[in-house]
Amino acid sequence: MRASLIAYWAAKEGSSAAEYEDAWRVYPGPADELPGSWVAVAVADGATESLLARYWAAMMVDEFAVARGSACDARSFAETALALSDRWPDVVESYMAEREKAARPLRWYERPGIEKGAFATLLTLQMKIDTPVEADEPHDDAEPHDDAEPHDDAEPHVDPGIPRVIGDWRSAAIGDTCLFHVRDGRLQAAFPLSESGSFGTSPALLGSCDTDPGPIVDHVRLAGGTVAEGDDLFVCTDAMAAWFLARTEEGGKPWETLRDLNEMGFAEWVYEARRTGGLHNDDVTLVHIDIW
Amino acid sequence: MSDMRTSDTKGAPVPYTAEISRTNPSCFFFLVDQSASMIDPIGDARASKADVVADALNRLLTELAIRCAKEEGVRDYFYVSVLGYGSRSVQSAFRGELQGHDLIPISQVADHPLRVDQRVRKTPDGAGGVIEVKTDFPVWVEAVANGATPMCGALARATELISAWIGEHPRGFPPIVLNLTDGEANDGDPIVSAGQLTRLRTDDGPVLLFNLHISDQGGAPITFPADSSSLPDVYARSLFDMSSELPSHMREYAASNHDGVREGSRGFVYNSDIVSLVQFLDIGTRALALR
Repeated sequence: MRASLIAYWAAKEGSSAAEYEDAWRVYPGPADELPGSWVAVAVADGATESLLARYWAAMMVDEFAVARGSACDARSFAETALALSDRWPDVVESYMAEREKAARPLRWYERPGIEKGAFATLLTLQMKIDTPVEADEPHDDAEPHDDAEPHDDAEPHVDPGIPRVIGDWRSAAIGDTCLFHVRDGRLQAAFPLSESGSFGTSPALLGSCDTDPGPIVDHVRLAGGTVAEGDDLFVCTDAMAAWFLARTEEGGKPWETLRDLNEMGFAEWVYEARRTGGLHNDDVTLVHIDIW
Repeated sequence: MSDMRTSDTKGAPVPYTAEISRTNPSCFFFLVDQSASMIDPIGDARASKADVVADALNRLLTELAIRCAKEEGVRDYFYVSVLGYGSRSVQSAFRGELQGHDLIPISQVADHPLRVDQRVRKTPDGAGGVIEVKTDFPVWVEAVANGATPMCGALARATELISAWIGEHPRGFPPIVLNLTDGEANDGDPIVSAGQLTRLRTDDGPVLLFNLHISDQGGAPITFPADSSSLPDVYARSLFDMSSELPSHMREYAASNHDGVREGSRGFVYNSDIVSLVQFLDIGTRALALR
């Protein structure tokens, strides 16, 4: 596949790496040239004010990165989430047993949070890249939408300047972890949030004690689009997403900054951006898929 | 330390937006009226004003500790002072292992209650009924009612301690002071002392002074009013005048839980619950279930 994938992460300043509560999982894995034709990304952001959030975030990305239908259908997404909730009591039991074994039984101030459950945002992205599609095949705009109908709209006219479509993507999200799709030097899609002012401290969250699919189906957002040669897709948690949109609103091209990052320089870039570039001090996760 | 303050559209800093974190903590000062008048019962209730105030304070500390709790323990997003004022003048109201400490991290508060009682609360059973469940109720402060009411002295002591705090945390979220009282100061005009306190400020804004007025005058409970016209007596109006206006984001949280909150609403509560105050501050993503 003519695509590369790289993932970066950094803990909130003042927190240790062990306290990082985002989680990410990619399939088949980070690579300079991805094998096969299928790419899946799941990124979650554990809520600060919940206990065991990093366990919950990790469970979710592990499952959603391989749950193919979950990015296309709200009910399938909810079923995947609730299947994880069913396993949560075992996680808590195991955790409490570990604490007892370590002679650190739960304290009074932990019990309400344990009873309430863990919470996290989640975005899952699934992308299929086939043999390059001929120029007269559809290559519809990747505007976010709430109904993931198949992308089979034929377009009557094809501009020869438009990059060749080579596949498509689907995404589902709850909360403020975001996907940005960049094509031809412009932001093609921002999903599920598209304005920097939309971020806050109360995003929609998947809870480990959720039992009702209804609210999940109501809150999950779905989107889809095409993948073309030269596209960049970025999945990131809220601090970077808000930064990305704010720079875009100012007329900037933050994707150029992110495209130039490398593993060695990421931590340094985050450090500087937190001081001077308006990057909120929070856990940061970024997955970049570069299509060439 | 990074400057995490928010700017408005013209680039001017928005007050009360500084990050609250372990590297950039804020502080709560609780001033507790322990004077003789607090022995009086409230209305027909058997509980005294001192009981009500002690209960409110213990619940505030409980909620604060729970909000800061993570797997490794309680994170020190806040430092806490509890100053009692009554017959023994103004001094730390903590007892037991915390006795004599003026200002301590919330983790130490959480780890050293005087005792942990069990209380029974009613909760839905999931089948349309209600069941009673036992819950932990930590106690740090007992009801005390004795002697005079040196409220001005308490405000002055808080001013002294907060001045030192701001010297060490000049860019942090401003300290919050909550005065729990029946309102009858007898060592001067508390409005003057309150003015000295709320003139202190960090880069993020002036110190916030809120008041919980527990009174036996009766009347309807009042929560975060924007004017004093409905308040029952001179003490309530005095405490209202001392109270800071709720910053905009606190007002939004207050409005989501209480009717009548609007622009100009002050951090003043009359004979009602003020524990929601702990929820007004942002320390990260809130854990709220989908609805």
